[in-house]
Amino acid sequence: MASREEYLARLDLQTLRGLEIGPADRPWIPATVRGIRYADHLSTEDLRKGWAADSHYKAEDLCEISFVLDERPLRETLGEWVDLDVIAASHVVEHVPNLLNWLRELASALKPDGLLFLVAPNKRFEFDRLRRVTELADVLTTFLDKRTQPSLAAMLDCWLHFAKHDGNTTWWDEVDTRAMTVMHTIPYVYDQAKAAVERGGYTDVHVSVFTPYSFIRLIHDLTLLELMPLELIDIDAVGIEIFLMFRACPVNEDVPRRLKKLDEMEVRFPFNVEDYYSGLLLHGERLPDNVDELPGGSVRAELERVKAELERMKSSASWKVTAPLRSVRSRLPK
Amino acid sequence: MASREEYLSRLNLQTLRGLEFGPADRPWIPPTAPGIRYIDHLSTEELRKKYTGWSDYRAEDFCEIHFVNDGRPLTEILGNWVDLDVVVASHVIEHIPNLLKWLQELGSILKPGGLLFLAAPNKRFEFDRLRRVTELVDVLSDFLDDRKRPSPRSMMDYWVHYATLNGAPSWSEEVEPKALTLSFPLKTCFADAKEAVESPNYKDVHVSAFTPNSFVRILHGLTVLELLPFELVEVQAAGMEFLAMLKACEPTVDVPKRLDLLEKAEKGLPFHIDDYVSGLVLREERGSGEVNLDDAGARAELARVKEELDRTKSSASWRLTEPLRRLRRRL
Repeated sequence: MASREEYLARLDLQTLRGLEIGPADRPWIPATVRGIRYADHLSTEDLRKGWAADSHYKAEDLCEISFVLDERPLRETLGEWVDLDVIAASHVVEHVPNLLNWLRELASALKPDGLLFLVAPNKRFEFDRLRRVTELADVLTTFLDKRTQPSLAAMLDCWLHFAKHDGNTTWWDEVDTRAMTVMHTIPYVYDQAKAAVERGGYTDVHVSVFTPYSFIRLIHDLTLLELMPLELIDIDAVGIEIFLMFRACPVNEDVPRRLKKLDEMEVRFPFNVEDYYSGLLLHGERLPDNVDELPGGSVRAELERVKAELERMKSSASWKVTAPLRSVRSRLPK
Repeated sequence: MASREEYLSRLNLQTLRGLEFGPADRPWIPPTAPGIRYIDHLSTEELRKKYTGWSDYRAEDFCEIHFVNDGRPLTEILGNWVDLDVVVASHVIEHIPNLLKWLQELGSILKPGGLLFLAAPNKRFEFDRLRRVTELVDVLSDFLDDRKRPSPRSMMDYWVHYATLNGAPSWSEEVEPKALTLSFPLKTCFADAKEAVESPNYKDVHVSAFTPNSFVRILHGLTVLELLPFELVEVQAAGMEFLAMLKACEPTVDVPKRLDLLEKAEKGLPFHIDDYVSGLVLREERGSGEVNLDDAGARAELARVKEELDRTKSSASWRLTEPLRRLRRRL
């Protein structure tokens, strides 16, 4: 199972040259590593001020920020600090206004084969549960629109569907969406979005919403379009988080192989078609009784049934008592 | 069933003061009505030239266009031609890049109580079948972004999902999505959208995709927000299209009553959850001529697991222990 420690073990902490975005008071790559630099959207001082009152963070433990990220291209901000071995960003990717542009910028700061570590929330386990996952059309639209701020679509979507379960914004088990509470009314959300437009500047929301499956699909299609200078080499769902490890590569490097690998990764993760429609439909009688009627639903449902049957057989007494038999047979010459 | 004729019978053709969008060669309100004016995105001459040689249109029968919609605010283009009794638009609304702004403009040129007649394709019966319907968030984003041209999203959505049935772009019965053929590969769609964004030329696409039900839901959301200057009079599915009649009013008045009318109308219109799932979840074979609504990865996994299940069932271990299981079932 992936963990922050396991990912770290891939690195040579003594010699690496790396960047971590948004380390806050709990960096992924520790500050004792000589070749690590930290970047955030505010300076150390401004972050401290902002968090002095937030009990969630220990302001005094805040990492020293070397680069303040603004609307300039990342490479300009980083200056000489490029050709990196690794970039790490935990709970950042979902806030980025222009996902594709961001991934491309990160890749351009990595040396060939350099690693990118990401952790993102799995939307099924947090307040984004009722939103539609971010799809290719969303990513390409913000890319073609050259967004540097969250789109209005993202703000409206984030606030309209902002939901709690038993008063919590995250949880560890699958929840029944009908037991969830939507926090804001449509007029309130519209007024907030309008105010954000008039105010200008940056409004922080979850721009993107992922499940492990949907993340792989996005990477797949961006790879197909030869827009993705990163190869996904590891992905794991761990509790409420998704771990992802990428390797920097040219956008057109062996596309068929990369696509095939993504297809293989994809089946390890559950596909829930309800993640693909907007949650405002889920309320009351809108929830379909039979998701088999939806695209993709029937194959996945059958897969679940067959898997369960196989699982039952393998855990049965019959199978267990005959284990020695199979063990002997496997040792016999064919 | 609603028809254009039935809608017309609500009007006094001799005295009305009205405007029709995009009448082409088949106006809804005939040119014999003294008080009708026509508006389109091109002049009469340009339209006749553009549509010469099209089998669907008789270029010589095109209506005389009074106003050219060149992107300026509608009230500026129309000058004194406001305080209208009626505005009609057949198969226009789905092309409009900024739906809410357009409806608000129409509200502003109608007199209070003036009527708006709309006809729009029902996306279940045409090439938009595999797109998800336009939702409130899309409409509000285009409005707050002040879009004047189709968004990259709508272009991508339109081209990626452009589907035909045996070569035809529309059909009159419900179809199985699997019977449809997609037309363009993903790469072409992205390249075209990129080019359209960078070019000064306007790209015409179906910006919005509606079912009668989804259309009413959008009106409902906009009414809740007190942004819609209309009250729904009626809406009906009519074969491959639907017709809607709306009455101009202040966006803030009678909100509960107007919401009630919309909710009643919605109950009479079929709701299909698959209209809300983007066809972009369709996979692989995209644009290669086939529509595959199943999940290719899951299908491969299913084949693998089934094979393992068969192997397990036919294994010596499983066959040998059959008496054991039979015995247990009897106990």
